[in-house]
Amino acid sequence: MSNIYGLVAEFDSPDTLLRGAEAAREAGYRKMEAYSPFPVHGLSEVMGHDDPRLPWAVFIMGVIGCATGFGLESWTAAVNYPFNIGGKPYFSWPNFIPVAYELTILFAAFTAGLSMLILNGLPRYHHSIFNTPRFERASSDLFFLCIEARDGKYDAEETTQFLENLGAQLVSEVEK
Amino acid sequence: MDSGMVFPKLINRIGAVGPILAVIGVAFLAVGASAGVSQFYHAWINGWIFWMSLSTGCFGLMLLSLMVRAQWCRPVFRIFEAGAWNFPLLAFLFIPIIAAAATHHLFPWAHPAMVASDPILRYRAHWFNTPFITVRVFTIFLTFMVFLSWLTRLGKVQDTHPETRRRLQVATSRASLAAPGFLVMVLAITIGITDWVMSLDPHWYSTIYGFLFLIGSGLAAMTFAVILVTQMAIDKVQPYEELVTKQTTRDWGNLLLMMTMVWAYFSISQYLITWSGNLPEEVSFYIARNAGTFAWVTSMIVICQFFLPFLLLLSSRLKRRPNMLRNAAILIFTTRIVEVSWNVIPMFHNWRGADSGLMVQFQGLVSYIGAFLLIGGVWLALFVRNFKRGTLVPELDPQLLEVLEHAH
Repeated sequence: MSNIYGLVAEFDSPDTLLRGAEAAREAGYRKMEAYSPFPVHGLSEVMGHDDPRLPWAVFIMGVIGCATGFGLESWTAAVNYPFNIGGKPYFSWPNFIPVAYELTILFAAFTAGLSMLILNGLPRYHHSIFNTPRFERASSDLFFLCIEARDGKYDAEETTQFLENLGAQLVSEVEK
Repeated sequence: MDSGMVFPKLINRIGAVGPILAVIGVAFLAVGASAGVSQFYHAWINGWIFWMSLSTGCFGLMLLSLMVRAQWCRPVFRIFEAGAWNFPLLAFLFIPIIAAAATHHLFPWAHPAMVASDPILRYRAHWFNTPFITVRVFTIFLTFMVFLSWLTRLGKVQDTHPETRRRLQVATSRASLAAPGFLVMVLAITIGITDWVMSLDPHWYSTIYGFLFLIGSGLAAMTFAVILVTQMAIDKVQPYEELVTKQTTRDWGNLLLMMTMVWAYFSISQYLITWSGNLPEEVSFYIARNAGTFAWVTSMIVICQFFLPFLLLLSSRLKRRPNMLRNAAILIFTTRIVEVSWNVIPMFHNWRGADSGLMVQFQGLVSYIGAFLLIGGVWLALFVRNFKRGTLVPELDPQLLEVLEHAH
């Protein structure tokens, strides 16, 4: 088992990063990640960031939240503890809508936030990408593209050559 | 700029269909309104309210576009502007409604006998009387026109000026004009809708009605624009085909989803408060709309204006495809027509006993369709004329274009 996390290419502009990422994806690389100081328009499309699991998880939990709110209200108001409020029927469903709605939002929002963290593998103490030389400048003026060693197409020499051809100013092998 | 420009086939076709619809409308209205002059006025205000709501929505979204100046605004902006420029037409078409009030028709407060026997109407007579309502409606239209002409004149400068710095200045001043314009519009429409629809019922009132009308208008205008632009993109009309990207259709879809939810939120708020309060003068609104055929229409609106569009627009796959987004927009736009009529028509059956008899109902239906087509036909014809006055896609924000240039 090698001790290499991957190859990291350093670019000096968002344009070269975007084009580099596009070329890498076209070349068949999949396990890769881009790092930039600010959101680069179109980058996430190029990287193929569209995990279908998150929207579905949010939707399903939203439905469960709605059912929980509505069910709890119906059961308490009509079955468990029937109580005459303003002469209305016990099962007064219009009154149950606000709470059902709020629980839909609550469940969906928490699922979105927590799933985002879990799917991103967060929280964690350390990430190998920080072994990259000059990586702190990803928060100020440099743009990085990392191709991970676990990618099927990864080959230390060939991939280095490929990244250099993309116009990277520096390609470094990064340890785990 | 007018001459020599080639306009998309779809736009030209709408311009040609408009007068035909208007002529069909006249024929329908002649048949339907032979039942009596009251029926004519009922049909007229119902048709007028829908097309007024479309222009209001266009105006509001135009102001919003000028404030946010986002990428999604550019392909639809000229449609909003052209729709808003139909305000002079709508002001002109309001004259029959003033005539109705002046001749003691249509509004309960315009009937001297009803006012005399009803203390509430007597109390409100200072506000609801023909001269004052006339002053109000024309003040509203005049205010809208001041903002609209000012913004359009600045827009011409922005579209043609060679210096980027000057264009940026103009864009900023348009934004600072659009923001107060939006506030004024919300207030004016709240007053307007109280006059035009709420006062059709002698006692019923709802304080959220203006907002409900506004969000419905926004839905109508946004779907109208989305239908046109996505269709032109599907027909491979430039520059629309190039501008309608996945990102843009996703933004439109999300905007429609938001508006659908706000519409549902306001509607359920109004319903819930009325239902909880359970006061005779408030619940009459829903009782009238849950009787007979209207109960079916109510259920249809709940499904087609909320549940179906909501579930459809949640899907990101739908929002990536122009043809599917267009179909969802058609569903919402069609339901808007039904919902406006659902708001207006039952008002007339509330206070003088429902009209019965198949013939009367048939004539009523024909007259409602007739007035809708007549006003709509003229609206569409003039919309196309307004649309042809400018460029297809304005710049809106010089900086945005630079950013986009940079990204691709």
